[in-house]
Amino acid sequence: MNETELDELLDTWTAPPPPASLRESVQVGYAADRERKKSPGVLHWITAFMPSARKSLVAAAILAVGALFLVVTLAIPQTHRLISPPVRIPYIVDSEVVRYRDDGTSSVEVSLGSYNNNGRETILYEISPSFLTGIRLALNEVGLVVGRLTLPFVVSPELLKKAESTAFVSAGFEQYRCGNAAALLDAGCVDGPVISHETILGHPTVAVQPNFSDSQRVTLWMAPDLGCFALRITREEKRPDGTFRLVIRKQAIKVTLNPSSYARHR
Amino acid sequence: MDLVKAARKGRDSAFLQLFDEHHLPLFRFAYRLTGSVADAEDIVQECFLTLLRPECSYDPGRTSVRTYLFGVVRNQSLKRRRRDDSTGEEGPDAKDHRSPESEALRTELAEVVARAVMRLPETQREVLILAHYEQMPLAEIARVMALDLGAVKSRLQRARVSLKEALAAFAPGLERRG
Repeated sequence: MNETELDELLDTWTAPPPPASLRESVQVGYAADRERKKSPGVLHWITAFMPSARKSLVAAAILAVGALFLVVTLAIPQTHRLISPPVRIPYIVDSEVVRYRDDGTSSVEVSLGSYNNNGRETILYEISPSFLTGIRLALNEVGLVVGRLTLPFVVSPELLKKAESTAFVSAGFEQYRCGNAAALLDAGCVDGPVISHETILGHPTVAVQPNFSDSQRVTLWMAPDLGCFALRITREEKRPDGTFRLVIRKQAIKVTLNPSSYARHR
Repeated sequence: MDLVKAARKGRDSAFLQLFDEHHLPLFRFAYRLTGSVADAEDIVQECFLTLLRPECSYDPGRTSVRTYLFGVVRNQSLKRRRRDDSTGEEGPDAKDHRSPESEALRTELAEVVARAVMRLPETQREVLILAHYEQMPLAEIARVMALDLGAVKSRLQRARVSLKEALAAFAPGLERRG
């Protein structure tokens, strides 16, 4: 075989074009990186306007609240959200939630890191680029923790068990329940009409549209190999003319498999 | 202003221009190294984001952005390959047999060529892909791979000799088609 023949043979192996989603994924990742740079975090906002002595007091108060949460977590294992991740986290998905407004503008509402624990999304961190949203987020988390602590005292054990076995996915402030977690995992993450199959960040997903409400359409792209983690979520509102307007979009921007330690990943 | 600097300062248009100028050859390179569209997509995404992070070591005085990006793709592909090897996941050969991207290989001959290239030792494969498929000058390949020019030439030579042997049976077929 001469050099030309070899070149001709090699030329038969062509590379496919990049998926259309590549440009969008890169843009989302770029926007998320930029927002993280812009956003020094809620704690920074809280302490930025305080004299240093008060900052120390705030830091001490935060530590005290943290210690209290840790004690509560150890006492009641169900309240692990945002407080104490389990010993082994199988993967961490960094995602970004973008809110689309009526006037056509959009902005990143929350950046979050999470994984699925038996079909239930467990949040490891949440960051908001705006001060007010950050406060709202913090209050939301406190409300969730309080809710979980008080739930055993206000509902029957059967209802509590049902609540604890329900799968849910998170898009920042919004959570969507997807029926029984074990059943969802058994069904290959199919919880409603399947509209497509797509690979996101290297993970095959099944896109389903559970029927939550007639006035809106929620689409979940769930990855069976990640325990039905929703790598993308969209919520659209129905307009009077029957068309839909995108309101919320959660998009995974990075999946880290087998993170050796949560701290190192962050 | 330099596109990388502008993109680091948050200019969307600069970032998109960088992406549009470089993503196609980078994607092809990543695909041919990993044998997987999904892996190539992840690698290219990570490559552009790496470039814009403050800790990025890119120095425009030492190398062009294209050379730097190819180097990042190469390193990311190596990492993935080593991770797949250590976790016992399927290599690119196995993926080629059943993944959707293998469907895109136009002919049986193309699959044979792909497998032959994939079976080359890693260092030879990288040089061959950059030289043949990306038409990259040998001096630039040397910079991407942090090798001297002589090493690049000899690796390319060895890769081509190996491929001629591996594909010898297919040369007459090619002539018949022509």
